[in-house]
Amino acid sequence: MNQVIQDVRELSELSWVSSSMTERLSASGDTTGIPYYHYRWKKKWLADYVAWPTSTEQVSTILAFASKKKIPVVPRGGGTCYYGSASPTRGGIILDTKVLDKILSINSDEMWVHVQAGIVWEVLEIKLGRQNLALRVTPQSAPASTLGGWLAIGGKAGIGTPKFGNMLDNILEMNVVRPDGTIDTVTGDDMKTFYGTSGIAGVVVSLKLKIRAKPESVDGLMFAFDSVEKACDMARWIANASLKPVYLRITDIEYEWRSQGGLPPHSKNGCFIIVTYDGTKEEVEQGLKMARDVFESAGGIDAGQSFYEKNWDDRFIIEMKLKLEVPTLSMQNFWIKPDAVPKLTEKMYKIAKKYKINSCFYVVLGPETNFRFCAFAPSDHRHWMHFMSGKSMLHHLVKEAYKLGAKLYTLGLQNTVYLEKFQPDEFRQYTDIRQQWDPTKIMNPDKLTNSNMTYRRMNLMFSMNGRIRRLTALLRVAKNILQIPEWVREGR
Amino acid sequence: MRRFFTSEFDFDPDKIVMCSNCSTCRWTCTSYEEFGTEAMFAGGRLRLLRSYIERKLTVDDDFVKAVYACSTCEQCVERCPIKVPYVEIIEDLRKRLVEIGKGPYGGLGAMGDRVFHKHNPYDGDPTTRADWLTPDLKVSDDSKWGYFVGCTGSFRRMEIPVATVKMLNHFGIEPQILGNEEYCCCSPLIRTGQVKKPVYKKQEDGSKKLVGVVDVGEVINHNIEEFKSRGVEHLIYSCSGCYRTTTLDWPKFYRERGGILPFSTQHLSQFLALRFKKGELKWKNGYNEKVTYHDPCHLGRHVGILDAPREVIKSIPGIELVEMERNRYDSKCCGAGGGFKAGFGDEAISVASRRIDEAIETGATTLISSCVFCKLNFMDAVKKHDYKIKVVNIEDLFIDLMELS
Repeated sequence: MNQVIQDVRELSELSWVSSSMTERLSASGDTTGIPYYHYRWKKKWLADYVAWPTSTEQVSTILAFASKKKIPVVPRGGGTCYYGSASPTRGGIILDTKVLDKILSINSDEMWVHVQAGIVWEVLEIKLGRQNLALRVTPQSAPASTLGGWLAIGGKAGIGTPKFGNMLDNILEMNVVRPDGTIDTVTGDDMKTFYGTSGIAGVVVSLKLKIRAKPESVDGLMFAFDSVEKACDMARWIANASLKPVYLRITDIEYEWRSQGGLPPHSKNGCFIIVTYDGTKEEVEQGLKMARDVFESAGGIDAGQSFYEKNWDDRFIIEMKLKLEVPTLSMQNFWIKPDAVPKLTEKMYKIAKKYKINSCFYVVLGPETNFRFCAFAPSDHRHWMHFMSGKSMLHHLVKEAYKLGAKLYTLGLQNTVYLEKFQPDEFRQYTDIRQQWDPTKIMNPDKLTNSNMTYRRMNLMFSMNGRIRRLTALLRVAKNILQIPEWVREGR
Repeated sequence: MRRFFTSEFDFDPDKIVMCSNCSTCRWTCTSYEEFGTEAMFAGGRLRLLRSYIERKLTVDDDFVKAVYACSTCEQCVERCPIKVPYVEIIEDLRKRLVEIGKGPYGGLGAMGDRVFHKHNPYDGDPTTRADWLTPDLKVSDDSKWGYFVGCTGSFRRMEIPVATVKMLNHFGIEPQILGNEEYCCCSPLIRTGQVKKPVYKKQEDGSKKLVGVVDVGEVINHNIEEFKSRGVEHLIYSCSGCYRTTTLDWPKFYRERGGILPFSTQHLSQFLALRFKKGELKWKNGYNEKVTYHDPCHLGRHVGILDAPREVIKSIPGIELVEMERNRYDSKCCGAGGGFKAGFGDEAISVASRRIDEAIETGATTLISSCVFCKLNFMDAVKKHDYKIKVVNIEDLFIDLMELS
């Protein structure tokens, strides 16, 4: 038993801290379905402790202690991030915030809810719904992710974001615990320190979130277009109109086929837009009429209400349904302007073809006509070369995306290496935040300010892998394990 | 592929990689609500299993506890975007833990021993199994209708078989019961992985002597053969657990006819709903109260019987049926199933209390269920917290309103 373990035991004799292997293992994992690949990145991937604080004071106690003893602390929300945002890399303490899940107060006159940050989005939505209230924005991972989790990864594209802005735009005030254990209330621009910073500036314990009355009506439509360019044009038009949708998503044919197991008619080699409006009945009708007119004038074909409803129902589990077809979900997310989407898509297909991988994508509209572009490299990690080729393909795509002016959407553990290489200014900003608030560097180490992997090494690894894959594809010996049947491609 | 195999586990990797750990199943999980940790929900357990296999870790007590702290309610499967068969995986895992001698958890192993010795998990004297049968209840030796009483009805809540037989008698059916020859349906054993479990006897010197093996297949086949030899064609159940096990599990163990059972199975709520549809159910009295219905997991999510009990309840004059927020396929578990009550008694009552709170929130004065085990657990919660709500099963309501009690 090491010093760390003895110290923490001394700290509290706390009933809310555990060193059980079972608890540590389950709390150290995340959505990445390929643990042994990630063990290499994560180094000391297993936490020494898991803590479940139930109050601000308990969070403060543990952070003060950890800071004093220089023990790494990894704040954990729903653990739904695909990029290892809540994964330990140096052991330490996992601070499971999901126990902090109480609604502290609701003000339906000023339309805000004061809520602990560990509450799951879906649970909050249900509880507000009982009082005829609703959230303004929610992430697509709402059934599992927490408020604090989406804040920490810098949530900006989800349901409600085209209309109500990113998550930070919807927060009035935060109660935080700084890495040294200081409890503080943060408002205004100071809140930016906690937005998209993976907890390096401290743990957000509770926040005042803007809410709204439950919308009277929610409805939408789904249209098929014969090209990504057209779909993006339409999406930009809709995003810039005065009446904003609450949700807009573009998907390609392969994504639609894999996730829904079927395609709407007239969907040969095209892509789809689903758009949803909510508000008063008049607003929704007006929005739908406008969208329909625009889509039809651009040659779009109505995919039908049943396809729309299926897609709308699946808005929260959009990626997960791919698992029906794809054993391993390798993906990369970009924050991108609509103009660049067709170019990036073209690049993606081109690279995927060379790598002999069936790539697919979806984009979701965020605030100010920006998109979250999610590119998939469907794979099966048990076919090691195919899996690594998928990773290489995504690496290749990241380089292309930066050339087009896009940025990575989620950073976390795996993408910090790109941050350092391609976004040096932001990397410096994060380093400054770390220096200012967490000089002992205990908070979520190896996220945003340091990478376990050098870009050079990773680039070399993926480039070599990519070259071998491309060569084998050229020689027609590369196996494509997840092919889309030809009849689907032809729209039959 | 090799990395999915260790000396302790040999799981189908396809089943394990299906779960992406999206955690959609977390907040609705019965055991997560109770324990609140990442190891205590379906996705977390699978992550744990995967870690144990991939890191070749030795199974410890905490792992066994996490695997057994699941009520197998299948809420996780219902929530899962791609319907990963978590409960099937958990039951396989429990089976494996029993095989390697590390399961079942805590005192759950005693259930297997008792079934071996006394054919029921309650340690009840098998010769008293039909002691609930009073002279006014009519059963026969040659009816085509049979009634599978179940162990909980026989040894814990005897009012349930009494009510069920009275109900059947009311419709002119004198069912056959197996009495002493009825063995456990094996639901508790299958759910806890004790499909084949060695049974030991403690010697005077402290050592253990193997006295036999409890084999679920043998127990199930005994029951089937008994009903078959008596010419039973339709089998009625008042226990949802027994009904689920007969319908979904018995065929896997029945060696003849490709697993097709020699009789049809019907839960009493289905029986009553059918009588109502045929116009044979005429209520003598009404029930002027607001009631809510709790879907037992074994009857609802597992087998899909959701409408029949509601049709019966709605047919009662004067009754007002209100739904709890979570109902039908989304219904909450009562906390009694899957060995959870036997292994985690206090937690099971706490789960039941939360469900009763939900029932009370609807304004209902009566909580109706159609499972012996749910009723047992709810009654324990009512007793513990002195809830002011009546807990009844459909058959209780039937004999009351038909003045048969």
